[in-house]
Amino acid sequence: MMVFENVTFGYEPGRPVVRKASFALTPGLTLLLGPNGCGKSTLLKLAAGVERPDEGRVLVDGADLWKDEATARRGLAYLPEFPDITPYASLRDVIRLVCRLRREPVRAGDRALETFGLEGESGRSVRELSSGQRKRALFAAAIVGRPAHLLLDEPLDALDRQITDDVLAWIRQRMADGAALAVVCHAIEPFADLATRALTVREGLVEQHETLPRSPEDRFHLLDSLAR
Amino acid sequence: MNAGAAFLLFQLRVGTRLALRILAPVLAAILFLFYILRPEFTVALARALFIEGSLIESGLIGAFLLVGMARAVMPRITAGRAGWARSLPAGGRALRALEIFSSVIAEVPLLAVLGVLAWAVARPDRVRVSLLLAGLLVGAAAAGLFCLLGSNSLRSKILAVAACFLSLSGNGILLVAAAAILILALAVPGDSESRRSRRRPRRGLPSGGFFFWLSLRAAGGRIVLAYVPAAIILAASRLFLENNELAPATAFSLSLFGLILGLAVFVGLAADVLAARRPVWLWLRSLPLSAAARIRFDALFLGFCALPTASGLALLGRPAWEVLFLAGPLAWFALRGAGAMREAADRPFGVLGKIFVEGTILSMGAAVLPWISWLLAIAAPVAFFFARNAERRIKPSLWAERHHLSAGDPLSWSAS
Repeated sequence: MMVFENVTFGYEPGRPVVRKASFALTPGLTLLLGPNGCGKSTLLKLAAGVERPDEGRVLVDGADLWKDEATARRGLAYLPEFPDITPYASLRDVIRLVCRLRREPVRAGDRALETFGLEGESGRSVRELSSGQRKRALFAAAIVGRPAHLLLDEPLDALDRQITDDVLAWIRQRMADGAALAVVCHAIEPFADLATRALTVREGLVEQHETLPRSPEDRFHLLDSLAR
Repeated sequence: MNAGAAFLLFQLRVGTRLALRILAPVLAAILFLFYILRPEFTVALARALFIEGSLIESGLIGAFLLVGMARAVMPRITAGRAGWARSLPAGGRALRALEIFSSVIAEVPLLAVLGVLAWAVARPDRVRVSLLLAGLLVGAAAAGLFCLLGSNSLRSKILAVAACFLSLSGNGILLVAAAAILILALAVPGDSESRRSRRRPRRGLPSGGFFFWLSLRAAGGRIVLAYVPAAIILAASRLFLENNELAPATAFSLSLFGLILGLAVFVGLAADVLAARRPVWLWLRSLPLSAAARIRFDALFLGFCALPTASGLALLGRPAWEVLFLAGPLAWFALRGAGAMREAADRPFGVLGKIFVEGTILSMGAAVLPWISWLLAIAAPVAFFFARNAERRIKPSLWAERHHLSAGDPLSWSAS
């Protein structure tokens, strides 16, 4: 379980993007919704340990993300909105790094690349890949070691229809395994029936909707209103 | 107006704008040359370059100067070349030639200074003056081709640097040869024009080396340039030692000063290169790797690359065991450099500014009190602590959040 405790964060002093956020990301799919610039991606970066809270702390299975850094991060995978892979290493290098850091055999990395149809591209630099292929590479990194916390920022952007279906099937599978997923997205349709709860940020304050209506229409209506 | 003329006009404007920007530093350099170094010294330097130097000396110094100038100018001209500019109706070869033309225009203030110096020292021989002035133009164009980013092949780079080498010889035949080589280099197709060969898949890297190789690939050949100022400091120390009769203790102090300052300057420059070429990798921060480990990898890289500066001991004629006095400063500066890299974007003078000030103070201190070197070794964990905190403190997505353009701001002067 991932817990935010009184987390405050801002890019500039005196202008917090997130204020005193306290909530938990429990197993299931949490949709992070809201208008552009409200702080959804920032919240995910705080959860992933990309940004450090100005105040408060983030705990992953009891380990502080900024005190017990390696242990806390071992169980999480982050998929950024823009596929952010260094251009100075091949895909295989990056995947092997992830395998080593998550203490998985190299074969697991090769399998992950195969899963996302990148086995033929593993020797190539990220500069030679399309945006969609880069995203698939990060998905491949995300599945190595089956981390229990998955933080996905606009996961379906730039993916073709087949890979989109595969990703949605994978998300269902991970949910069935008991993983906690946090997904930032603007297109709510693919996730509306999967979502366990929803979360939104308004003027820096996090609002959590722990239960969603069962009826598909009501559920969609609520999610849609949160996303605007 | 046809496409060629339109591009020519465009590149002329680009070059002129850059030349105007360069004017201020050039004027500062002129004031420095005449009021600090004095005209006599400046003329002596120009005489060594244009008149008295052998072909190899003039060629090397001239090529170094011209390539340095082109290296500063070319990225500004070629920014965006790989993207939108390629969609315009012009051949790759024509684009290259026009970009080189633009770089020569941009360097006009610098070339004018060199031209005036060449005229001042070779005035009695008008033919030689003409050859040197023509050589400056040919050399600048060749240097521009050498520094053209990402579009020229290794063959054209080798030919360009050869033309640059021959251009300032002051010899008519060699100048013609330089011009011919330059034309040949321009005729060699660039990567974008030739059929790109499919790269062989890279071999997987051994575990410990991943971050080292990553940094090395990111820094590339630029890391070599960081050795130059360190070498200049060591050479100046050597000249001082040679031309003055010093007591052994004073000679030791001076050597230590030069070595530690050289080390600091190298680390500062190398860290700046790394900070610019390999900015914070956001996604890496989500992987199970601590801030301390990230600092350790960078410090090891900087420290390892700084090791050759210790060979300055031999240059200064010092015994090898004195390398022990450099261990502490090496560890200290490598860690300080790794930490300062995290704050480089917020500092007007980058990592170098910080490390240079620190290096000057510490090298002067160590020259007077050599035990400061040992103190730095003991204090290295403190530098590590500060660097780790700097790594944790940074807000890596701040820049993108402000500018919403992860590739960088192409209109910025510092963008390259």
